[in-house]
Amino acid sequence: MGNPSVLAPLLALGLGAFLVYLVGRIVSRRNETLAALTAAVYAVSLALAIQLGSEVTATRQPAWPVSAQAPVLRAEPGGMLVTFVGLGLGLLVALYSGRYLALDHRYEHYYPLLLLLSGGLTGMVMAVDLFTLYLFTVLTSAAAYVLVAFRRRTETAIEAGFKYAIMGATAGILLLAGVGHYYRETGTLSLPLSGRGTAPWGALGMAFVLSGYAIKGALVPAHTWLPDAHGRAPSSISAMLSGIVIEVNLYVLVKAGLGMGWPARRLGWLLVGLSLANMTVGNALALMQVYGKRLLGYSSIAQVGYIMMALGLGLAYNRPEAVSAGFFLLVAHAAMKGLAFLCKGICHFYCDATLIEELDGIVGRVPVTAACFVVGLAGLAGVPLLAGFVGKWQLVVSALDIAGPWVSLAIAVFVVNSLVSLGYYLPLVGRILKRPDNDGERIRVSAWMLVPTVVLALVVVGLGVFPQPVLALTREAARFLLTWGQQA
Amino acid sequence: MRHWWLLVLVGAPWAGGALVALLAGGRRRLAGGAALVTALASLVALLALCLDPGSRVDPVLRVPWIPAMGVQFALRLDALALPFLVNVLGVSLVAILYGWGYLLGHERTHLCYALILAFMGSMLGTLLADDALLFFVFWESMLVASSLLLAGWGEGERVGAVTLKYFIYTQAGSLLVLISIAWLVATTGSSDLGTIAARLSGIPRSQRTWVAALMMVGFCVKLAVFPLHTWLPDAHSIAPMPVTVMLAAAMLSMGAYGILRFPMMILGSAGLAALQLPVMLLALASEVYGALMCLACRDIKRIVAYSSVSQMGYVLFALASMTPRGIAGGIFHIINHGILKALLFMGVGLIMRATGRRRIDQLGGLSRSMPGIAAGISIGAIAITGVPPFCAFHSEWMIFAGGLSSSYPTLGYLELLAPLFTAAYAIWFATRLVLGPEPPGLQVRQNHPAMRWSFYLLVALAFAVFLLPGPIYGWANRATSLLGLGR
Repeated sequence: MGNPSVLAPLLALGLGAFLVYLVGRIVSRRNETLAALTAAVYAVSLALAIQLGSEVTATRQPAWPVSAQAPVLRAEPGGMLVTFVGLGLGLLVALYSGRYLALDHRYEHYYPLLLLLSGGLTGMVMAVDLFTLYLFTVLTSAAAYVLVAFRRRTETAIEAGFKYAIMGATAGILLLAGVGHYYRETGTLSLPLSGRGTAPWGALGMAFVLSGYAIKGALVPAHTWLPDAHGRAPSSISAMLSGIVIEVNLYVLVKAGLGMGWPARRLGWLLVGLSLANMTVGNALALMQVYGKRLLGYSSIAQVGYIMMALGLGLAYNRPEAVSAGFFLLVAHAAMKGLAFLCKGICHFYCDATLIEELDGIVGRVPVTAACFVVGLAGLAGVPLLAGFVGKWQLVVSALDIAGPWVSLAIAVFVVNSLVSLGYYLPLVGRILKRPDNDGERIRVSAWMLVPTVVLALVVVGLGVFPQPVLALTREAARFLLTWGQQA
Repeated sequence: MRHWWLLVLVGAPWAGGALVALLAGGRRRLAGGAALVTALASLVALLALCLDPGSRVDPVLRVPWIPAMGVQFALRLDALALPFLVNVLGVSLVAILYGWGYLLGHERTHLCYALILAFMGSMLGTLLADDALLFFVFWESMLVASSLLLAGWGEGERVGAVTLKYFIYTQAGSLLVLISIAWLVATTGSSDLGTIAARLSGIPRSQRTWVAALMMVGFCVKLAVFPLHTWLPDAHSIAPMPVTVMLAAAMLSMGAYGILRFPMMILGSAGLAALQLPVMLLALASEVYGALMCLACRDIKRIVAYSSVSQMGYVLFALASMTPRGIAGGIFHIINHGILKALLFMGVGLIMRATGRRRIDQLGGLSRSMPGIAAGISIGAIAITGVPPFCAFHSEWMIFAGGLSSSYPTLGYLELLAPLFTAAYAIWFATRLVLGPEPPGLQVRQNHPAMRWSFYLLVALAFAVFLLPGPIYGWANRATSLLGLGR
């Protein structure tokens, strides 16, 4: 029968989405009510996930259902870690939306979609069957397209959503084609399945699947939808998209690639090579941005590059420390970029700041938010005692431990990139902290928005000062990922 | 019990800074006093550590921090750190005292004092850190705190651009330091400095040289050695004067500390042999270039700033001589430079505040309008050339002696010419300000007593250290003996 607790977090999200929709249609359309209800659903799901996570180790992975063939879902340490991050971020975003969406309508659509987005993500990281994986990917993407275009009265949102949907659908077709080819070759869809995937059709299928997730994970050169989507979506949704959605797609790319039988060494080097392109392109283009959220979007492309480099080096050389660094960077990026987008959202909501230059002296009007914004940006820039630094330090130490000319080159590119990234983080910090002008009257930010923002800022500091608890989880996740491909 | 004083020494400025930051509104006037009390708490802790009869063994504090990465929160006070600690503490104390007058009337002074304390705390932490990661954390917080001070309280129109330049320039150096420290950690599998040094013995010499070279470049950015100095004149001339004093008289020496601690003490002198000649040449170039730039500048604050480039050349030359006497001279010179550079900057600040001018061709004849300050500035300028009866005499002859007994005595002879360049700008600077006709329309206001008295205190110190150099000789020699240079 398998372990039903694997299903529990997913069911909570799915039923919760339905419940929120019904409440929205029948009982109350008040934004605050629905936000609180959604947050409660997230809290329940997170509690169930933590309950489940406590049973999971690198060697013991509850699955559902254990039938004659193979399980469909399996809770494993890497997926659980990503799930915690996604649900935690979702909880905060739901609360934040309680005020942020005040000027919008159709709350009964927004919150269920948010829950479905998270449900899709949770399903994606747990799926150990290619077709299930495909279905959850489609669920996630469908929710994401609508949420990006949620402010449908603005032309730009429709345009961004459309672009995102077109590229996402292309990726979806590639995925489906990949799954089909793979099935033709192997006659099975369950992961992991090493060895048999190297035959021609299988290899083609694998290439399709990997390119599909590469588009969805915004890997250069398939990144072009990201700045539009993340720049035009409501900030709460941008926080989800940048903070967790692209990371999950990246994680699934690695997990599916290894599970379908790609040698870890080759996949690792592919990731390292792509990561260099990601960080360089992301940072270079971020330097030229005039819109705050687009800048953050490009910064996400660069930051995902750092995650890929760590995961790639770890896979290529079988180094758990490097993979662990990758997971830590993933957690850190979710917190830091989520924080940055939430702060940007507050600046937009209260001070109407869209362009970077409109953030000038925002510290005088919303001081606490400005402080949190600076914490997020400094964390992204890699300032010590904040989340980003711990991950980067681990990455550099584990990479130097590997040694070799190509690794040295990768490290050099990484270092130059982290220097270049200062070229946009610092001026942004400078603008935020600029001495306030004359019309700088204080604005009282609603607790709905302020509390999640401050909580995320504390998480960013906490991850930097006491990374130990999260490091224990990332170690376990790394141990799992390095053995995953060989489990078949 | 004793090792907890280490936590007080480093923690007092941080905790005090956090408290001072809360002194908003009407209590803002207390900020300066609170900052001074906090800095004094650190001084008390240092005295308690040094005067302890059991001080044969280095006091060490170890608390587990990130076990998964083997990182400890480890502080250690050893002989190498001591002279630098004294310098940082002394400079911070007078800078805060000077700030009582200088920062009066500035906005958000409580935050400024809080950041000054954080800046001080991060320098103290850098000196005491006994763990590679902890060292880098403090090293970076030094940069963050000082950048925020520049951005928030900088003077002039180009504050944003200069702060950006300062941050990116020194961060580039820091990244080289990061890479080389991470290499040490990766190679030895430990981030404890003692363990790293012990486990490095099997590493081939060529590799050591590479890492040492990376570190030297990284630390030389902080030390502002030509041609890596270009952030310095900009940053030092826009910073508010108490911060300038801390940047010039305390933070520059962190570069020297880094060189002593990492390439020289941990990697050992074997890896440095190949680097000795280029570093000595750069040091000489720095001395001459800094002095010439002093002569080329017209802004009095910028002149004193460039003088630091020249003076740090002396320090680097001393370290690169690789002789015990030379290195001890370099460490001694750090303290002397701390006194004299603080003295000169404070004097410049007094003149700028009193006259409202900062161009040397619009100033002159100050011996009549502000005789005390003029005398102090003259003493500072004369002292920095290294003549008796002032403090720098002791350190400079040790540096010369070190240079002559090094492997490259020719460069030692060249070094003897450097004070001529120093004298050229120092004497020119002092005579232009102090003597000559008073320029038209010069009006002199009275300065705040806290500014004047902290200035006079340093003048007295410049003389006192000449008379009683014994303790500092002792510290410098003991610090040098840790480097294991033989001879």
